Amino acid sequence: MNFLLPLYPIWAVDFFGSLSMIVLGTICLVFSVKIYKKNRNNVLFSYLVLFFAAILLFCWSRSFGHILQHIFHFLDHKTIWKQIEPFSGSFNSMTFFIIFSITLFFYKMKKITDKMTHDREKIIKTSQEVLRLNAAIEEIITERTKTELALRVAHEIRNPITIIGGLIRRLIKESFIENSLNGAREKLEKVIEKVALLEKLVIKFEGIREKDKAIYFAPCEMNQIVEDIVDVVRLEASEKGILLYLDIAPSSLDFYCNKHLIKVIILHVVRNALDFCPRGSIIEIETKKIAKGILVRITDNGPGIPEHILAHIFEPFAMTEFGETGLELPYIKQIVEEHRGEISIKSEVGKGASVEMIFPTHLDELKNIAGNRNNK
Amino acid sequence: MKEIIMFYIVLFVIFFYGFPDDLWALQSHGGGEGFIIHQLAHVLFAVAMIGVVIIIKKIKEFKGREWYYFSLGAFFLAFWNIWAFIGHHLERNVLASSFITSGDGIPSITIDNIVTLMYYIYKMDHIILVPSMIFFLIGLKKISSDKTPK
Repeated sequence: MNFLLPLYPIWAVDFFGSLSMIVLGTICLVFSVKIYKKNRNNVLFSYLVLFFAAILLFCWSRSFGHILQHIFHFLDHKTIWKQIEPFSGSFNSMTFFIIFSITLFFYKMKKITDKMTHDREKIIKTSQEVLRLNAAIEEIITERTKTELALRVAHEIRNPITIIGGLIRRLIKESFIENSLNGAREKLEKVIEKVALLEKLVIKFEGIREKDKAIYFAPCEMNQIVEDIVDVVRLEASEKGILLYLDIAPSSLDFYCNKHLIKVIILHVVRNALDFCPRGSIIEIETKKIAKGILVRITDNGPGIPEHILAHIFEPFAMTEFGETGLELPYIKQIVEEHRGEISIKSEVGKGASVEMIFPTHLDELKNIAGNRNNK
Repeated sequence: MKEIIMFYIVLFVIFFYGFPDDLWALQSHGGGEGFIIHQLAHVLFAVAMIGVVIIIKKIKEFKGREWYYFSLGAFFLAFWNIWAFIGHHLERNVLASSFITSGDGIPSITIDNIVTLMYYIYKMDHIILVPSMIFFLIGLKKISSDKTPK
């Protein structure tokens, strides 16, 4: 192998290539700035503008160096180029490091922002779920309160009406009314008719309200309900530095319930524990099959409940030195009882609290309600 | 606090005045470092560009023609870095006597071995570098014309 090759192709490619690099690098930066201006907070767009700024520095340093090299060689001033060459080369190396650093930084930033976006979506989803469940419990409480009130009023009306009706009937039976006033008996009989009608209306009203109070049941699975609840509160617990420990039964825990109500009450108990437990506490949610049915136990190692509050915890608006007990726990108890279940709370101040709910699994009565509803 | 400061002063005096030796505080930087640092810079540049190609390939967000062109640009740039890395090594092994630039003839290079032949080819690195920038430009133009809100 021994032949000559002209240097012109190398020079031509180098010269025009260098010129093209300057032009293309500049246009790329212009476009990246245009993209960046669309959204200055976008990590990717910020990367693009920094990346192409560094690329442009690279293009300029390299291309101007190469062009100058050709010019100085052409003008026979090689010594001048020898003095410039180290600066051009060093600057060129520097731009490589800058590009590497920018890309590495972008990669880390992308990972962080992706995690932030993921967490944000999760928070939004959880907040919506919490809001929905809070709205549901408020709706249930309002509806129940209205029904209770209406039933109480109806009961209060029905009693005097029955008494009034009885007294009038007794009066008619007495013969002196028949003889004392003309048409009095007929008028009294009309009053009795109206009273009887009123009594029927009240009974009918009570019947409707009782129906409103009735809840509908369907086959549910307790482990699934508990897992759904843990999904909702997991982020909140993690932010508060509370460890959520889930100990679910290995087998499926099927029973008849109103899933929505059961979800609301268990969530309420868990969120109560989250509210009162300090950072570093542990909340354990356990489900298991026992002889009586399905057990759900929520245990925490928080501050616990004082004995005098514990004694009145299921009484609505019972006054304690810490204020009223509120409506939630009495309603939770009511919902559990409507499922023919049991609820109990054990606590020791300074050691924590444990809420136990037991739901029966074989309830023909509940199945019938579910069956009726399905038939509808 | 005063005791700690005193302890460090004593330690400093003992260390620097108690054991006198040659001064190595400033390391000299010879010509060879420039070559090594430049080659290392090429390696890091290539790694960064391969990283960009992998990111575009892996992340769902970077789907579409615009990112395809962008990844092509990054790929060509990574390839150029490898090309240039080899080119710099070849350059050091080409003898100055191989170049014929004086005289009336056409400036040329004597291809007497595989190194000079490869050097001749590797010197035309803009054949790779310019297309990489063109691909970047096409990608950027497409991103820029994308009307989807970001």
